[in-house]
Amino acid sequence: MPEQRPRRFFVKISSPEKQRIRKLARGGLDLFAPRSDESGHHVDGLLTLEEVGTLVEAGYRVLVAGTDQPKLKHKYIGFEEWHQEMLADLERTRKEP
Amino acid sequence: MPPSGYLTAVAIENGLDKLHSSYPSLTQLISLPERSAGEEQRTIRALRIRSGEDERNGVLLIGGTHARELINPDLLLALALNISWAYHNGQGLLFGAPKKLPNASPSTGSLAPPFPGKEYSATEIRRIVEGLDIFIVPNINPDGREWVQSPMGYQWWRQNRGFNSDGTRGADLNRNYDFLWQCHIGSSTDSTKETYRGDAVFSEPETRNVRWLFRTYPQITCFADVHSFGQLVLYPWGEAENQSDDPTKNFQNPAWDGKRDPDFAYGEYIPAADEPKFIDRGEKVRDAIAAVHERRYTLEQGVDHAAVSGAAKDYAYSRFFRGAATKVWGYTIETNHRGTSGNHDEDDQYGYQPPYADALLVMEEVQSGLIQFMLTCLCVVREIGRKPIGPGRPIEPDELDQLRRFRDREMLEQRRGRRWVEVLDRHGDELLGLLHRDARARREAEHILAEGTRIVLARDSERPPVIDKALATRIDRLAMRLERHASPQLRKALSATRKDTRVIVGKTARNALR
Repeated sequence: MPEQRPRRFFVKISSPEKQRIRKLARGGLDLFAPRSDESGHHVDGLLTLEEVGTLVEAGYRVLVAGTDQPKLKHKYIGFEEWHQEMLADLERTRKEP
Repeated sequence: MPPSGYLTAVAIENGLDKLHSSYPSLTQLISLPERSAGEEQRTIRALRIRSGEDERNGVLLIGGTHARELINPDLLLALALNISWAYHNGQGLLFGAPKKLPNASPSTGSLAPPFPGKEYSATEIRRIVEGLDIFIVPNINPDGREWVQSPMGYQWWRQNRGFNSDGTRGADLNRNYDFLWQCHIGSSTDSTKETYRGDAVFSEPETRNVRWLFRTYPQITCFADVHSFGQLVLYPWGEAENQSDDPTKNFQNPAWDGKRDPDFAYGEYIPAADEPKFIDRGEKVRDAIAAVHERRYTLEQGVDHAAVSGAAKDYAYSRFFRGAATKVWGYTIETNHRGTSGNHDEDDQYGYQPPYADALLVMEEVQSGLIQFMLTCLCVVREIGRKPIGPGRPIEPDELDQLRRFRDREMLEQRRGRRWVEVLDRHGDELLGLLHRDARARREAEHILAEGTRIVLARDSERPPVIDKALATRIDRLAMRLERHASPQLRKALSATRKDTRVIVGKTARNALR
């Protein structure tokens, strides 16, 4: 959980009007890249339930897609391991002068 | 086997040390003046890559601004490694060739090999290392990355880890720069929000470090801030649509504060010559990315992605209009789009933090775009003048400065001047390639540059020199010679230049532009 911050959720916000989605971005919410498809205009974001409520009241359609709990676990590595593999990759492309 | 995971913040710092110890004559480690904002107060460093000591244009690349966007510090460190290795070994670089591909996860979807790949020759690598001052700050926000990767932390943390005046933690660094910060467009004044703009403009040491780089190295003319995600190449302005008709609608005019909005028909003024130049450079970057895995990024003005104030690229470009000597062509690159798993939640994670095998694909294509970006940042005039192969002397740094001022303050104000600048800007890389292969043309170019410099630098004298017929004929002949092996686009541009040579005879530098 983020310190002192309420739980957040991955959401998809939709509107039939592109301008409304663009306007949303001006408001300082944690939004991702906007996009459009045949069903309308959308932007995804990572929002609190309070923020979701405000958007719904303002007439946006908001789909809560999931919590902010990680689904993918990443491996974090040190430089030496990374460097060896990167260098080996470079050496494979080496051309004779 | 490709690397198996993301680098830790400590590993990135170790990487900078290792690169410097491996290539000591090629690299310099620069400790930025301010430590990170969190309790750990980490040192933040830039790696400077260059060969030779003479003056040249600079390129600044930064990553890690938003902590959760894990790809970009690894990407920039890989770029530094690749360029240093290639230059040191006299090699080119190959991105996306089938033999280099790691085993991508199924979520790469349409990214099925074989890919066309993008190759940069050893000559091109040499050109950027000897022709540019390359500054790379792979991770400007080490505290944030540490927090994202810590089991005690939060995987989606976006900000730095500084304490705000009310005791809350974190500010959005890409809302903290001095570009309409006071207008808080696309940023929040609420310190509990992810897009909190900070307590004051440049309140955060991490953004002050970037400002320090611009101030300390005024030769920096190109800047890219690498983010995730969106599959975009973005150029200024970031808070309102660009317009070139009304100069009073500009970011320095406080009368428009609070009205920089489509509702007030506000458009941000950009000089007419600048937007095509942003687009041209951006297209080259976009195409160089697409050449690797055929993944096409969208080039657009920043505001079309999301309207924001206080962003790095806008600050970088805006400095010129507030008196900085050099114009900085600032971009934001948003790495590739979400995944194709069909699972919304996982897709968003994919955009920020893909499995590492997929991150390597992203790293390859964006590195290709950034090398192309660097090639567009070379100063053609400097490259022709710095090491003459003919009998002339090298062009002096103060002469280059004066030519730069003439270009920015006078040439770009006139139609014909703009056309000439455009030839060099749009086709500089190709022109340098042609001159590299044709010694006679190169000597001619050097002679024309020396003569042109003399005429430009004496334009304010009592009897300013004029362009004589011999010089115009030399320009015409050189253009004709280069046309033979030029691309159709360059051929067209050279042809227009040749027409100009007929009307500039007998004119001073200033009058020739009109």
